[in-house]
Amino acid sequence: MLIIISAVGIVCTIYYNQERSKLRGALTELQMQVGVWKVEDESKVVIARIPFSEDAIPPGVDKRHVWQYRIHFPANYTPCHDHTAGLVKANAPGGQGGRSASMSGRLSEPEQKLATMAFLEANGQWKFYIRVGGSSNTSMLPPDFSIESLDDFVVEPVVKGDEIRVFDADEAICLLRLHEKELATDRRGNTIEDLHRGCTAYLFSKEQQDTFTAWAQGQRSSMKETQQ
Amino acid sequence: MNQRNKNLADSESNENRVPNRELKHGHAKAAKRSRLSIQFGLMELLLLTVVAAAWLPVVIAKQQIAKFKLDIQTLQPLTTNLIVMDEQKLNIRAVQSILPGITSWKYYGPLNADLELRFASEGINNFSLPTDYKAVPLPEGRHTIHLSEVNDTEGYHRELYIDKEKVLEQHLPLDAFARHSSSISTDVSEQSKEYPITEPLKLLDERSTNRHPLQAYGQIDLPIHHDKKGNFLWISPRTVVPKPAPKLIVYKSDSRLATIGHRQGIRVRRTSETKTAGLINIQPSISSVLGDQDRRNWYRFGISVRPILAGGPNPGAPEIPELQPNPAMPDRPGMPITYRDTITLPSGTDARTRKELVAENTINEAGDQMRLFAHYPPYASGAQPIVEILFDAAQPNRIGFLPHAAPGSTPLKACQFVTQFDARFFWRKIEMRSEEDTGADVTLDSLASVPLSRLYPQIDPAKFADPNGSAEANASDLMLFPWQPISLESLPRFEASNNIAEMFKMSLITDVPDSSKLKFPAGLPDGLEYEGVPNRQVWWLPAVEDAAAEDAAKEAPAETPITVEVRATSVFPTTKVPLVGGPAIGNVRITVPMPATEPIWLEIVAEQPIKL
Repeated sequence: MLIIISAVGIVCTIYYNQERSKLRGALTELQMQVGVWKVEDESKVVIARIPFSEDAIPPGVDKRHVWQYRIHFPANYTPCHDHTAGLVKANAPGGQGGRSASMSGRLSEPEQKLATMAFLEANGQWKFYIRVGGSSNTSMLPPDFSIESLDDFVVEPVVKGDEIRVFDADEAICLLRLHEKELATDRRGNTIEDLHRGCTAYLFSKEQQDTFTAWAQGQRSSMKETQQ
Repeated sequence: MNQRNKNLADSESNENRVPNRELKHGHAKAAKRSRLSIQFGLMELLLLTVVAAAWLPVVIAKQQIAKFKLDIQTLQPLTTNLIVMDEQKLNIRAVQSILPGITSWKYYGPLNADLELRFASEGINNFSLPTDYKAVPLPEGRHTIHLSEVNDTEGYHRELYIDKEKVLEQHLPLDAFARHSSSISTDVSEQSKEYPITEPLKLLDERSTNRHPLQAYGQIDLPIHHDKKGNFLWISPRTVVPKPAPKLIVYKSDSRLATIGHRQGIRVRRTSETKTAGLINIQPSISSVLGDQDRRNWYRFGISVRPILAGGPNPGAPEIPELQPNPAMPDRPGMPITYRDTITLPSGTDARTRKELVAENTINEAGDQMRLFAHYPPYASGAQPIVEILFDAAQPNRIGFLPHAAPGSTPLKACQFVTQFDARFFWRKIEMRSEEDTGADVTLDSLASVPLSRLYPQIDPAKFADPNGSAEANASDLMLFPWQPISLESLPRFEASNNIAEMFKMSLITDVPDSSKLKFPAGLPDGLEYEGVPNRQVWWLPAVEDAAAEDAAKEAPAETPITVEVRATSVFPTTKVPLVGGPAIGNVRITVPMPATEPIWLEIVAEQPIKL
């Protein structure tokens, strides 16, 4: 009897070892793509850039510039998104033009989400796409706003290279800012103070909504841009 | 204190007893102990160690597997990678697409799996997979599926790609939907998962809202059982052929379904609506009343079944069930009827119970015929009709009635079927054979729409058209139009075919081309406003004259033919509010002689065919 039990145990060991080895392989593969992390302080917002897989590009996309981040959100964080596509400031939210705001549900537990920001050209039209977790937004860019080369623009992604950035939960985070190097001009050709043609994507928690709105409306004292 | 002493005494007595038992069984126990010491020898100890050594890795591996699974679950949505865990199965996950209007999935298809990618834009329902679809073979190995949905001024464009190659496309005109997407569901998530290659797997079930043909509200939600349009994408074994959805449906005892009959056609409502006790409550097919708001606990069309006794003190006088006292609710009129699946009630069944037993065996094996029985409690006179209600899948707008007498019933001479709530549909003309026609070659061309006023020649046409405007008119006058018989000979006749008896057809036609444009009088109850499509009420009545003639020749008692009468009303049903546009047909009364052998059929059908 004990011999039979032992034999079954050995068979199970072989089976579960195979299963474990398959899962370990899959996990390693995933970790290679998104990086191995240890969030030291779960009460912070932690962001790292992860590579974008080319095979996820759908048909119809002719040109693109894509940034993907892995974001750790602390518990009780209520992600709010504020996107502007039009005239943007170089160091603050707000501006003129298409602005959209959205809010996700409050996170009861710490959670990690994938954030994707992309400038895409499809059918000759450039679009600004942003998605954080399940929430996404797309803005159409003007016909003469073409992003052939990023060198022609000021591009400020929240993280560069392999760095991992940590933010307090009450900070407003600029996930991406892209704008022309020159100031924008009005119809008469006069430059507009402080404003460039481009896009910004900000992230903050709902508790900071009022402070953020005041900052976007020009009250510099209410919040300040996170240091690059 | 006493209890404590008792416990002490018990303990002493136990101590006293134990040595006695040991003395008695001392030798046996010693022998047993010696055997036990042999069983736990060195060999056994070694074997137990082996068992522990064999199972310990299992325990550790299972703990690690659980942790790995959790970590994978956390990391999966952060990537677009597909993890293939079992190469014998279909591995698939959804992928967030960076281009709006495109939905993507990554999959691994096993070798020789013989799978297809199928796409349908119509016939989406809750019963089965769509039967009308386009399909392409699903390539083996790792690939990405993209479904592109573009809506523009020319219509709705769907393109299906496997990797970068377009494999399917479908273009629908703008009027295909009212709203592109009303609900989305899927069987696949962003977690890589293995699925058997023997079962269909739903990637996308996206249903649209239908356009309303009258454009009164722009769009309409079809009832839950109807076929919908949208995008339905799934992977299926090539050999699996989807079963067609049932054409006839019943409700189970626990279902919320309020109606029974054609899945996409005419139905009868549950009788648990006390307002309509004593009436067979008809729900016309959605295509016949499209646009008319479906009001809970309201009725669109009711039929009162009235038995006529062969003898008794008042022979020939019909009884009116909705005017009988309701034993369950004495303050409300109406006899409760119940629908059952058998003509004989199971013994011990209380006919008054509202718990209806209508099961799937009301539908025949082929699934194209359905019959149920409306059981009435006995009337005061002893009459007790049972009405067999029939549905034929080939005629989704028709419902049939065949009256029977219950076993203990007083003999019945006839059964009357009297329609209620007709006036809100504004039926004002009757289709009859034209007068100059000889009857030999009846064709549709020889039909004439006879206005209702022609049936009331004794009433001044001006007064008939506007009874409310007449100075001497009062409410009681307005409601007292007499019944007028319609001769069967004046109705078009349809030859027998395909097991269907020869029938007369009586059609009631509306004179309102677009009821959504009607201005209803103030104070009218909501349920009486009709803003659906124009429709007609049609009765298909079996012809019995020929049989009667044959019987007469054989000197057998002649069969009495069915009689048809109509009655005008100038007010909205159950109100004193004058009808917009003058009197309309308020009721139809069909008297079916008993015993009846052929059913009569009622059809409510849209004036213009509507494709939903």
